Amino acid sequence: MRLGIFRLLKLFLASLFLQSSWSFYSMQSLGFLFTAMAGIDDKKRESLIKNTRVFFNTHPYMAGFIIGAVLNSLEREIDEESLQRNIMATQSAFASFGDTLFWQTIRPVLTIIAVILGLKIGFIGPLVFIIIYNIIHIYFRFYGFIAGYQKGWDVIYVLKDKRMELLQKIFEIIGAFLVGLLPIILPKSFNVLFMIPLSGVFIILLWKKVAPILILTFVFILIIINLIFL
Amino acid sequence: MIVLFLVFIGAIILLDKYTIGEFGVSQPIIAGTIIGALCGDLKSGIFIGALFQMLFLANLPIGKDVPPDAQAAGIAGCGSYFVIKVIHKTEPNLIIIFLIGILTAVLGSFLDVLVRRVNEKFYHWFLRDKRQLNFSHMTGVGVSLIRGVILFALIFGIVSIIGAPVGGLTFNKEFLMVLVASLGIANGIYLYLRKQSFYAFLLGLICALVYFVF
Repeated sequence: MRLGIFRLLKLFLASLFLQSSWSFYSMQSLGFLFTAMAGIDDKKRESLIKNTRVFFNTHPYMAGFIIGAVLNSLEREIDEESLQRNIMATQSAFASFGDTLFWQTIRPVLTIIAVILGLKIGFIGPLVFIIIYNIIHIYFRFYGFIAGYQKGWDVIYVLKDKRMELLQKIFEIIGAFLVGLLPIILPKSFNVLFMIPLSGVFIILLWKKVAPILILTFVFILIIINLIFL
Repeated sequence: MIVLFLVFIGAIILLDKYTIGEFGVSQPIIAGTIIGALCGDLKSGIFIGALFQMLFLANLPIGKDVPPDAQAAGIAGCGSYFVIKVIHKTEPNLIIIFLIGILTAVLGSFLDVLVRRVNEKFYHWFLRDKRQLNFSHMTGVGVSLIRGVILFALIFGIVSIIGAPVGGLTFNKEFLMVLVASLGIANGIYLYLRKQSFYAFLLGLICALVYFVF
């Protein structure tokens, strides 16, 4: 079985709209159906739409792994019930992996690089972010469809791949280095020392899992104090 | 004219948040760069984008959570800067720009919830008539676009009428930098500081120290 380049491209383009109709009730269900439709032939479309009432929510870049496996199952005419069960079983594993890898690791690391280079050199920083981030992101989208289609529901074992773990570790180490380096964006002046107690307070707030909105309120109050007294 | 232009550009960039693609274009540092380049002041665009990027570094959209809208904050902050600069012909106070961004982040997350509720209606429409998949799904793009237009029209409209106080720029800028760098460091430590990455953090810190001393 092969996906074919045109089908793969159609799937990729459709997957860019995966979250367009995100809602609290169905999450990415419509996006899932919309993307899967791009990869199956006309005869099976109607049956997929009629029979599938899937609740779908996963990391947008990792959805390809599951949709690829769904296409594989549909071509092998696996029964509806086990299809739904497999979708339910895999989506949270890919969601949690994608959230940790992309939202928590790769994106913040690359944005710190963009900030440091952007403030020190110029537009090179944001350019570096866009290029590196999208090479990784687009690779995962394509690889997801191919791996899912080839491996079927065994695609879940991709998450145990050593290379994925290595990628995460590399970015975590780069991230830690960049966080240490971050003070260089500041001007060389005495006020830099204020950073030490302020960072301490923010670390405590984050560690205590204080809601982002409360942290923003705290920042707001600090700014108001600055405006009034300094 | 600049208000209309920025509302349109802002709403388009905001689609990248989750509606189309998620290429990272809506991240504050990138959005700031784009808006800065389009308005002819790349340096200020990058600077304001960087401020908001650091502020929202660990703003993770996990599961059903709707965190403050970092992307909208970056666009609104940067856009407001240029609206004030062009219309009121003054150098905007960065602290005020920062406050506008924070308020937009909160307002944006409320609108995000609203968009998701509207999308819910279209999902039920699809359940009633399953031939309407493409329409029900793609309407979400329109709803998100309208959200961006409403949000930025409101923010830039108010900013263009009221303007912002001038002054205190030098110290404010330094204070802001210290504030966002502290937030960035705290966010970064929270995200990356583990046993295995501690030495990398220390190395970065030593490099920064060397930079400050020499």
